[in-house]
Amino acid sequence: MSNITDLKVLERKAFRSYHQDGLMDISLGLMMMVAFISEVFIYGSMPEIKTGIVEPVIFRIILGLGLYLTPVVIVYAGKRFITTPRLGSVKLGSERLSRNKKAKVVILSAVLVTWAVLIISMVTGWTEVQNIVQWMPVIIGGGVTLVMSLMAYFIDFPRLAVIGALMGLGIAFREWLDKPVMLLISGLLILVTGLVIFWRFLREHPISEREAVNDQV
Amino acid sequence: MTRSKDGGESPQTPVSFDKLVHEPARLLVLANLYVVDSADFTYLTRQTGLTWGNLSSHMSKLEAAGYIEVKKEFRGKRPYTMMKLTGEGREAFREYRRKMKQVLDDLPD
Repeated sequence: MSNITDLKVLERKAFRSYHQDGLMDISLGLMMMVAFISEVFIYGSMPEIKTGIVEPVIFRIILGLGLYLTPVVIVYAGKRFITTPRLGSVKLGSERLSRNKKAKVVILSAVLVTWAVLIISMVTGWTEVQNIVQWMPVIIGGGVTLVMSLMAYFIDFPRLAVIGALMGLGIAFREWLDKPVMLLISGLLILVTGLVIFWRFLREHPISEREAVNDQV
Repeated sequence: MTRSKDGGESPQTPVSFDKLVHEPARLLVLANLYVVDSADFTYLTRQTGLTWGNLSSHMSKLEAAGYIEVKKEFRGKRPYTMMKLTGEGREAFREYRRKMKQVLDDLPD
């Protein structure tokens, strides 16, 4: 009965139910691992990849982009073929859509500001002048955590803030210790958590034949 | 009961609820549909805990009363049946909440 009187709680419960599949965790964990693979095996100390057709640099860029897109494809396919058949299909209300739009604007702004600061600092070298190079790992890691926390707030997904903190720590330690393996460790922690949540989701929401065809009597 | 000017008590007109909305299962369905734009059967069974047959029965009554509309869509080759509250349905739910709140507020401490 309390859900009937508090519609905000009901709406939030409905929206959050779509994050209980663990796919976001899996995707972000894989992205961290892709970052490690990209750094070590594509852009790192491996010999030049000679294709004979495409310039090695372009080949590396294409391969890198392809790897980064893989987690995105996994999430999209997972939502479509695993989550939606189990939880059903819903079109959100206008208030939630408006909130999501605001989230996108805020996140895009945060990312653009971060990139602008990084580029300016590289071009002008002001970080060296100001002697804050030593703080760059904290700044970069903190920036990632901040952006993810903002996302968590706007899309009502608190666990994303924890994921953001793990990502931020992984990136910060990678920069601080100059060890790409920190990205792998951070990614594995997030990925394993996501897999556990995903497994639990599959057990709690089996798909029935009727739901498979979305057919009603 | 309320107090009249001479200090006596006069009976209050009892608040009447829309029986279609008042039924607990249907109330749950209407509440879940109220907070979204539209949803399919699978979503509603998950959120309300009702069985498929039970939900189907309640949806038929709500559709007959004009409180919900049912739309069949195709996404690719897969059919989807989406349920949506009509304007009348939204107003009926809002009116029910208003009356329920009034009753609860009028209860003595």
